[in-house]
Amino acid sequence: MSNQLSHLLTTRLTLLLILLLITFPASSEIINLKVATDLEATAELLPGQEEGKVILILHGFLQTRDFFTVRRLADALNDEGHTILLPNLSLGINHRRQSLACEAIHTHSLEEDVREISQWVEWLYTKQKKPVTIIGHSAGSLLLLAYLTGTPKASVEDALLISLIPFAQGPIAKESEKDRQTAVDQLASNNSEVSSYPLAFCDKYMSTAGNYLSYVNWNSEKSLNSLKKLSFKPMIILGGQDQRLGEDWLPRLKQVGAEVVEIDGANHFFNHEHEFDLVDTISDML
Amino acid sequence: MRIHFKPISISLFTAIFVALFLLLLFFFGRIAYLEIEDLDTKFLTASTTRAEKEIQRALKLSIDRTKNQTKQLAKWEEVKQQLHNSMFYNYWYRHRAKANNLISEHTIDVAIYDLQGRMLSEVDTALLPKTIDIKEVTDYILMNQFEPLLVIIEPVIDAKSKSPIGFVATLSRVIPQFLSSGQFNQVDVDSLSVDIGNTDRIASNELFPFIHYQLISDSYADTLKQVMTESVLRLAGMAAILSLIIFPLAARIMSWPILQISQHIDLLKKYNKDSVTSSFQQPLLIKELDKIRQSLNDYHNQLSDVNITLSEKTKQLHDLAQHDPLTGARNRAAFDEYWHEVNDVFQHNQGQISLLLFDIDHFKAINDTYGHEVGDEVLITVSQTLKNILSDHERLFRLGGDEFITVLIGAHPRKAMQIAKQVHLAISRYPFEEMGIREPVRLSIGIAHTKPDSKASLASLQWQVNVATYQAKRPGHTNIVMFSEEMANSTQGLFSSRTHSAVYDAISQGTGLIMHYQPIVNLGSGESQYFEALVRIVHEGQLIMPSHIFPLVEAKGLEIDLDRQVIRKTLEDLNSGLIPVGTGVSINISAPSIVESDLFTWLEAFSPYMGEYKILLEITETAMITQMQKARSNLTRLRSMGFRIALDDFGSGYSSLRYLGSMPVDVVKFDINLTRLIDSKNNNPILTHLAQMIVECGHLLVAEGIESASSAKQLGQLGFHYGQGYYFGRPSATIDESVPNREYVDFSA
Repeated sequence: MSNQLSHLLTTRLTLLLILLLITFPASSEIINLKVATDLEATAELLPGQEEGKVILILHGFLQTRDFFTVRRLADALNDEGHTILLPNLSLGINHRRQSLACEAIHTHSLEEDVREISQWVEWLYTKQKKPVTIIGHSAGSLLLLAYLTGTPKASVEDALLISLIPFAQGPIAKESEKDRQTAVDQLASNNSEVSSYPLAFCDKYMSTAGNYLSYVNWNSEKSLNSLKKLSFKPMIILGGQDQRLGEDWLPRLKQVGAEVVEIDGANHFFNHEHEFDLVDTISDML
Repeated sequence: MRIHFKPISISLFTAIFVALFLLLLFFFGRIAYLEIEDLDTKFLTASTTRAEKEIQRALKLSIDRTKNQTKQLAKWEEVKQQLHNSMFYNYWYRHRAKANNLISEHTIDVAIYDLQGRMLSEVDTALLPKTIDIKEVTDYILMNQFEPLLVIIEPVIDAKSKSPIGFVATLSRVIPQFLSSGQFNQVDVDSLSVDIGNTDRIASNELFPFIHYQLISDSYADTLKQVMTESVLRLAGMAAILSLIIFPLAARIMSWPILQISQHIDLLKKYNKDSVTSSFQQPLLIKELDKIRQSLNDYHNQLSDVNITLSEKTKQLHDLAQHDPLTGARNRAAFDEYWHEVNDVFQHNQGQISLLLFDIDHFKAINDTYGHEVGDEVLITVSQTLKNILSDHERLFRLGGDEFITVLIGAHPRKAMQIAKQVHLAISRYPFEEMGIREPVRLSIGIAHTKPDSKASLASLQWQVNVATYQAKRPGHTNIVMFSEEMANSTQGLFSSRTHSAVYDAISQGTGLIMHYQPIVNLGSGESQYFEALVRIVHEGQLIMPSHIFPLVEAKGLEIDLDRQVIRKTLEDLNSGLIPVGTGVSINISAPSIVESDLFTWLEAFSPYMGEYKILLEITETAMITQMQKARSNLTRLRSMGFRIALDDFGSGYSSLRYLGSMPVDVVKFDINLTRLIDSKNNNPILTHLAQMIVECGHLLVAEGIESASSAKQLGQLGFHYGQGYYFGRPSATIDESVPNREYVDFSA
């Protein structure tokens, strides 16, 4: 009697599994990538369809791929058949999955972030054998800009920079020239201690002077110059109501010839109904 | 075995009731107090149990919460960052270790240890130990300046390899964390303390027994206990007041009507109802008791009425029993009772007492001649005349027949004589002719008077008055006679007290009574046909003759009693064979006995002798005057029983012939006065024709008083069948058949 029941259950479970495999696309996968000697970073790969684009979407400052703007965009594009890679920048933390507080000890630098981006693009390009469309949000867009500025790769097909924002820009920016100078002085004095600096929305960003400067140096001017010099023109998408950007940012972007799409009413994070506008805009661009 | 309780008063009953009530009150009050104490203990036990649960719950919650916080801390990537690169651990410890929202404010220290259990960097301010034993990673409690601190150590797990890469430890203040983790309703949080003694540390799950606390005062239980205690005390107080003051008062109020009824009943026993009820008119407050009292009054009134009625009836009966219904005078029983009282008084206070006995002369003749109604009127007239003359306190008694008597106490003999004369005169002047009585009606009055200082005189006063009356009735005497000693001597034989007692004894008990038998001889054959039984009384060797017996018997109305003794004695003689077989015996029956219903019973005893003896019943003519119908009926019945009826003393009365024609008579005995007419030539034809007529009527004739042979012969020739007299034989106690009768006369016809 028990054997019959066991056989019946096994049969039914098998049929259920087959049905699930047919009905749903392949599930996401966490990818571990050694980005330094003793440091591994993770990314989530959302497999798409063969004809779909291969897209890397990078989170914002101190965030993770689970930040809602990034996650919803990734899911939406994946639903359209695109393969999505969502890396978490390690920020000096092995297998980081959590967002990092401003007050945490930041041992990472912008250069290391760019290097990790480069590694993930290469990994994705290698894995998918397709040029990669890179999409960034907020400071993630700035890191992608830095990535594009440094060493342009053939592996990148297109770039979409959402809510591109440089450091020391906009009404919420805490850093000042004085702070930057302090860091410069400390760096000059070979002070490797961790100090508290204002950076972006952080009042107390705990970092070494060098690491701090790696971020704060990417201010508006450096960013515009980079855009201007790029042979590859990324598409910049801004929210019409983005309060984090300075009023002069959009005009200055346009001055340097950047291709900017402004979504009316959207804020820095494109939440609420503007989430769909963002997805629609990006879908149209892809 | 049945126990009888002695009734107690209602006051004592009330006191006992109050005492029992107080005892019960104390008993139940004590039970209530113990119940409250028990309830208080239950409340305390429940509070203790709840407090323990509160402590345990809060302890578990606080430890779990701290443990969870430490676990979250172990998952915190900044911790992993420090384990990966501890270059800035001191900086992290100072700025980040406790400045995060993963731990509570009660966590006072955090430390990270490598896989060897060494703190990543020794920090001077760190409270946690520099090293931990990684072989036995447990939570524990340690004391720091009497404050319990909780140490939680959690491994830090690598996300990829899932293996520990180090440890993180937290040090938290137990009590504040404990207080913030629970809600305490039973535990006084200010009293909380932990004392693990001399031990360095204890496991966190062993902390509970070392927690000391006090219970919060349970206001509800305290209030309830206070309320209940106060209620019990108040109830007890009220009950005590009720018992000691109000209850006795109420009991008194309740008992008052009962006491009233009790007193009422006591008074009812003592006094008549009017005097009692008038003093108990106040309402008794309680309807039922008032009803009881009313019922008592009603019953008492009814009983009183019944008593009065009974008394009246008794008095009436007494009066009836003591009065003669015809004349209204008191009867003989009343006289005997009164005389007894007089004797008692006389014994203590001797005084002058006079007896007056009134006897109507020839009253029987009046009755016979003019009938009962006239006789009764005479009696009533005499009685009324006597009453009119006597004063109110002088009682008049009718002793029987035509005798009246009165007693004068304290009266001088002259007064008695005066009254006697007044009575005699009044009767003499009374117009009896209006009643149709042609003859004068006179009274014979005897008077007897006590002699001063003579104790014996009262005892013989009745005898004296009888003697005086007897003398008054004798021809040639005045009608009023006062007894004198000389009179006593001359009538000693007749009215001696000796004769009195002898006659009474003979009549009442048969003592001394003997029968003398006189033969009745067949004038033809000279043989004794039968013997007439004649009464005699032998007393002290002397013979009392009928002349002394019958006046007393008739005077005292003892005829029936005498007849009964005569019958009894005659039967004895028959039985003893005194009377020769083949002859017979005749018994004189008085007039009262003829109409006596018991006569038949007495005479039935002769039945066995009817075959061998002739039994005759001699009836004097006077006896047949009254109740003629009943006498005729009785005589007829006696004849049917075998008795023969003889009409005695024929010719001595007023109207003998009238009765002879209508009475069932077998034998007619000519009175001696009539028989002696045989010696008178003038009267002889009357005797001859009278005898002839009676014989022709079928009666047997007996001649009395035959004293000579010539008389016997002549009477035989006249038709007389039998003869009786001294010629044939005197009455004798014995019968000697050998003695031949005198020359008999053949008168067979």
